[in-house]
Formats: sequence, structure tokens, C-alpha cells
Amino acid sequence: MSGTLAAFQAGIGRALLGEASCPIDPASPGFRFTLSVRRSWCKGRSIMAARAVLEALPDEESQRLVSEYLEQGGGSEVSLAIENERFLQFLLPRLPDPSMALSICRMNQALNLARRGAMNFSPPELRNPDAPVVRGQYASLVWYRTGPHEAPMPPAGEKSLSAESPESAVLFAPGLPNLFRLASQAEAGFWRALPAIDAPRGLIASLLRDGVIEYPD
Amino acid sequence: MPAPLGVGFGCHPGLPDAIYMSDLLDFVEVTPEVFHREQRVQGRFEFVPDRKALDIARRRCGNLPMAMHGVSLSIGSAHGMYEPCLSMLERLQGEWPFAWYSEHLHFQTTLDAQGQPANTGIPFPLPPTNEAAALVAERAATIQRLVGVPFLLENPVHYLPDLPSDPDIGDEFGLMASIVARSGCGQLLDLHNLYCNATNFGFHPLAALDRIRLDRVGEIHVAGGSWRDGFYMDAHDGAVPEPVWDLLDHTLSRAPWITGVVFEILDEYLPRLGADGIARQIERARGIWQHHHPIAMAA
Repeated sequence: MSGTLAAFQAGIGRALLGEASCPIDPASPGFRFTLSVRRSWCKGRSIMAARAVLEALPDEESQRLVSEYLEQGGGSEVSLAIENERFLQFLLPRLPDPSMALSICRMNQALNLARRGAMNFSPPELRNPDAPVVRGQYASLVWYRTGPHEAPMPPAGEKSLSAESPESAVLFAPGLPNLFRLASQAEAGFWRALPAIDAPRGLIASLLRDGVIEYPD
Repeated sequence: MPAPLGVGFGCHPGLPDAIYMSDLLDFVEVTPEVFHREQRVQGRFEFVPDRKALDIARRRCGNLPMAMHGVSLSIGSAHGMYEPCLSMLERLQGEWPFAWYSEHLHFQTTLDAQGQPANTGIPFPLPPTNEAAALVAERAATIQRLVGVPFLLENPVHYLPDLPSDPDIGDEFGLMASIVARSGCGQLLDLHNLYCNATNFGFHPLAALDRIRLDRVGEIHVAGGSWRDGFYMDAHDGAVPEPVWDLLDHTLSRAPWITGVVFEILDEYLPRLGADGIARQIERARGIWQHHHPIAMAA
């Protein structure tokens, strides 16, 4: 064989991007079929990676976004978790605001963030009640809207959330059981007002324990 | 390899527990990546265990001997294999010990124009060259030492014609034989992959079997496939075709090192066969196995 293994593999990589440097005859039925199988795999992986968001969109819009993602090289990650994060990042600025799809996208991202934080999370020792606090670096509060006939989607196949009103807030944090729960009005108000700490001490202590808020250092 | 076990099946979360609790199976094959999430930890990717999924899997299958069958090592990537797989396996060996570890002989990452690893989206075959054989053999020997159990490489399926080759290696069978001889690792012989390649490239699978080191085959896979655009695909989408059952029967009598046979199917096609249909495939494999290993099965 002339050339090295690295050159062969780089040539395949460039051919997948449409560049004319393929070490295999790009016009051969086998190569064309390989590309078709690859596209099918990438499409399937993309849909699996963000199924809940895509299902909240009209079919046509969902298909358009998947196609656009594939055109930009999406769907090729070996890891579904990484594909999920990558596709959500792609979808976020392209979803209608407000929309159920956008809320689900944000909830999925918030869950991923909380999951990352949960790997090394331990509740802090409580300090002076007047000590300043900030939003937890792995915590999020996501608003979602539902119409009268739309059921809110749980972000990761966990237990269902029940909507009390057309607009509800969900807290995501590394210390919460299942990493998320509905936020009370007081909690949502406090989150919005941060870094001010005008809140009952019991509420602050409980949010610190769950990683929703943290000390700034 | 361990003493012959019999017939195994993947650990599928979507199937009833009964399949794993019955006498149907002799061992289970676990794809470790399914029970982990890949996350960036301190700037590097790591496989972080999905504790809930792992605990469920162990509850269901923990009573059976277990083999690990990885999917993301990319052992043939010239720029390097995917090291987080090895850390994951080292940790798992202490937590849920496995009897052997297998991976695929292919590459699925390459370097992009900026020199960064890029996924190819699907696995690609290695060219049958001395360079590829030497690279994979060295890695296979290292892996075997690291995990402390036999390491098996699976023959790939692909649709690419005219791969560049060295004359003394020749083709995919020459490549696998060379790697096995150089590294001391074994082979996971996927008979459906062999059947696909034989069908698509026009060679006879029995002639190919004559060129495979059957004395180094530790495990066999069987699966189903389907036709698309004039190619027979390794789709793992249903029942095993008759010619593959025939190949299994032919091979088992010639593979003295064999430990077990696994029926493979993708999760999304489980409903197509259903639990009963899957049980029938496993029983069929068991019948052929038993024909060649009556003592092991009785024990």
C-alpha cells in the first residue's frame, strides 16, 4: 500500500465532508451505499438524541431541523450523551420562543448540567445567615408553558411533572432527588431576585442543601 | 478463554426480566457504553456510570457469567484509540467482573484538518496492510494485559470495494490472522458479518472460514439482516437467516477454544420478534451448540 494508515483515514474523513480526496472510488456503488448508511445512522442518532424536543414540533419543522443539523455534520458522535448536548445547543436558537419545544430543550440542558454537578456534589456547611449567595453553577430554573390540552414532558423519562397553571417553573440542581422538581412561587421569585438575599432563612438553607444556590467562593 | 458456557444474549433493558432469570441463557453480553454517560470531567472525556441503569442491569443479569462487548474503542484509529474506554473497563472489572472483553476491528475516528479527532459517523474497515496489523496487534496485546482477561476482536462488516492492501496481508482474513498471530488476542467471529461480506463481495463463506484461525475463536455472533439498494445489510433487525445457522453448525465443530454463541438484535427491533421470537432464536442457537458441546450443556 502506498501512503500510510493515517493518510488513508484522513482521506476517508475528508471524503465524508465532500472533498475530492477519497482513497476509495467515490463513484463506486459500495462507497455510495456506505454514505447512505452513514446518513441513515446519523439521522437516527440525532432523532434519538433529542426526541422529546423534536416531538414537540410540527413534523415538517422537526424534519427541517434534523436535515439542517445533518448538513452541518451533526449526528456523527459515538456517544449519545454528547450528541444530545450538541444537538440541543444547535436547536436552542432555532426554536420558537415561547414554545413547548424550547422549554423542553432548556429542561434537557438544565438536567444535563445538574447531572454533571451531581458527580461531585456535597451540601455546603451553612455559614452566617447573612452570608451572600449566588445561583448554583449547576442549577437552573426553567419556565415552561402548557396549553389546556398539552401535557408537560418530563425531561428524562423520570416521573411526570404536573402543571398547576399555564406557566410553571422547574428547578434543576445537583442535590435534588431526581435532579429536578417544580419550584414554588417563593423559590422562583427568590431565584429571579438573586444575588439579593431577601428570603426566609429556612428557604435559603434548603436551597443551599440542594445545590440550587451556593456561596460565591 | 473460560470453559465453554453455551448461549448468550445482550442485556436489553426493554425486555422482560424473565428472559434473564430463566434457563434460556448461559451468559450475558453487556455493552458497557449503554450503562454510562460520556461527560467532560476536568477537561477530559470520561465514561461516568449511570448508577440507576447499572444497578438494574446487575439485578437482572448479575446471576449469569458476563462478557463485555464494547463499541467505542476505535482500536484502528491511526491517531490513537479511545482511552476512556479502557479506564471504564478497569473500573468495571472491579465492580462487575467479566470473563472476556471484545471490540470491533475498525476505526470510527480520524483527524480533521485542524488535527482534532473527528467521528466518522459509522465504523470503517482497516486496509489490510502490515502497518494496520502491527498497530492493532500492539494495542490488542496492551489491552489484554490491562484488563486481565482474554481480548477478542470482531471481524467487521463493510461495503467498500478495493481497499488498499499489502500483498502479504491480502484481505480482511489475512489482516485478522496477522493481528491474532502477532498479539496473542483471540477472535470474535461474527458469522453474520462474514455472511454479509461474502454476499456483497461475492466470495464463499466456507472458503473464508478455511482461512480463519478457528483455534483462536473464543466467541461467535449470529444476527439477522436485510436487503437495501442491492446490498445485504448487517441490520440486526430480526431472525438469523438459514445460511448463517448452517455456518454456525459448520464452525462449532472446528472451534476448540469457543466459549459461547450470542444472538444479536438492536433494541428498536425487539418488538418485531417479541420475547417469544427471541427465545426461539436463542433455543435454535442452543440446539446447534448442544449438538457440538453435549457435556458442557449437561453440566
